[in-house]
Amino acid sequence: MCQEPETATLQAEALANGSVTPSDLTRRALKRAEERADLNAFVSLDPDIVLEQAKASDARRSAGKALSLIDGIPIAIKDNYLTRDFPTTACSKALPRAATGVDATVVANLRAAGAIIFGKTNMHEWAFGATNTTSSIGPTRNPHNAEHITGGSSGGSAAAVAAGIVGAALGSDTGGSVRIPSGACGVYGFKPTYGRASRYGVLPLSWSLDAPGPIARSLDDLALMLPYFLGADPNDASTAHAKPFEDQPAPDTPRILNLVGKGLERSEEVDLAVRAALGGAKASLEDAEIPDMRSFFAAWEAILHVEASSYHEKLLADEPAAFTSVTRAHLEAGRQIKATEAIHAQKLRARFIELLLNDLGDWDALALPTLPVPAPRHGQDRQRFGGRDVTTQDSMTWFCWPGNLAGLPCISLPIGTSTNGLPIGMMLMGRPGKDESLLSIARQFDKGR
Amino acid sequence: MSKSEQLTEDQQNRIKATLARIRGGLAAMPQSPSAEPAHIFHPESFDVPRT
Repeated sequence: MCQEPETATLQAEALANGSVTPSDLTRRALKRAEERADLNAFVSLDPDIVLEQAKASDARRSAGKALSLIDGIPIAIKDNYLTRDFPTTACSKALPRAATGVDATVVANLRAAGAIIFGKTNMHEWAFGATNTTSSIGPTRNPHNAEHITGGSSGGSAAAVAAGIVGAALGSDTGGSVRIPSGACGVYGFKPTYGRASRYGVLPLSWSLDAPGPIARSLDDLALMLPYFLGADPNDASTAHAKPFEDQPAPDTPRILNLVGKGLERSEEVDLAVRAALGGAKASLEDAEIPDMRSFFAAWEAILHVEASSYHEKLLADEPAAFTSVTRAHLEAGRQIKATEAIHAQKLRARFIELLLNDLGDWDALALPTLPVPAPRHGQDRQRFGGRDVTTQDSMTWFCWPGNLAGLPCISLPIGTSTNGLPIGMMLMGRPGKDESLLSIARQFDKGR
Repeated sequence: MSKSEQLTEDQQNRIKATLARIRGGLAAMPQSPSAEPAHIFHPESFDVPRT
């Protein structure tokens, strides 16, 4: 079992009232990382670099000049965010293990607020996979049971948070990579609306699907982190119209659609857990079906493969052996998709967004499990649930890709525990730009910590 | 350009399966020639000084 360490919010309170110092928190996080080295959550973690940041924060705090509420809080960073003081490799053997001297915009925002940039976390190679079993440093292990996977691709970040090493960490999400490991590891993950959070400095998987987002130990933690994600960034044109974080209340009785039907099957215990979680809140709740899931999934998969192949075109041509076998096969497949097929996928994407936002009516949130099954065992290649038999990879993205195809804000929160002791997560998707409102709606379903 | 003969049988099978799944899914939902793709374009978004 995991310990129950402090949330980032409690860490902020403790720092503010002086009961701990940034160095206390940072030494505690380093000790915990050492104790849970078996999880393989970190690819780069240099105590000297981390403690130096903490010392600077100590000085600010003791002089009464804290830069923000998060000044002195250790935050772990997924290895596809550029960080000026740690190498950025996307857990691929292709990239040099040398610091770039550049911070991604979200990392720069956190650093400017005094956060301790606490090392880089393990991830699925290039984020092209959702199991976190393919990485230059080997797989991550689930803190709830090391025989099980964390899911990915932000598996190291979720493991670090779930194990109580850090209160919050950064992930990125192209088909669920923030939400999947959050669900599998029993923590909270948030994928912002596409275009509200800067992708600058986050190594891309698929430009039009990618979104950076936080993973943390509570909804309050997510609220604490989101201001450093949301808002316009001149280095990312997709954020030109992005509004900064601003509290939005939930509707008094939010209208929630529980999505079900073909292509959205799940295990019975997961279904029961989600229905129990939804039933405990003051909300208008009804089941709804999305037709043609196979075609919309193909659209997401086509866009993902085409954009990833474009980004990796040169490296694939020059050094195909730099990729693991499965990743190379994905990229080669992307190269073979015709331009007209890619445009067809974009037409289906437009239809899908219209279907969700208009055809389904005036909903406030769409509900799904985060995963159809609890975290699979390492080495278990297929999952069976609800009459389906699919690869473990497909089972991980099963419910999450729609949020990326439509660009909607999404949150995953823990709602229970399976019969084998693993977390069960629920996902809520909000209307575009209503990220803060989605967070408020999620509070109604949170059993709390 | 990477060469297909350098690919293993497993890789070739994966590529075939991925393409079949994508093409099958797209073909099952034909779209009108005039349907607009999701490509909203805001040129003014690029008209900002870079940091």
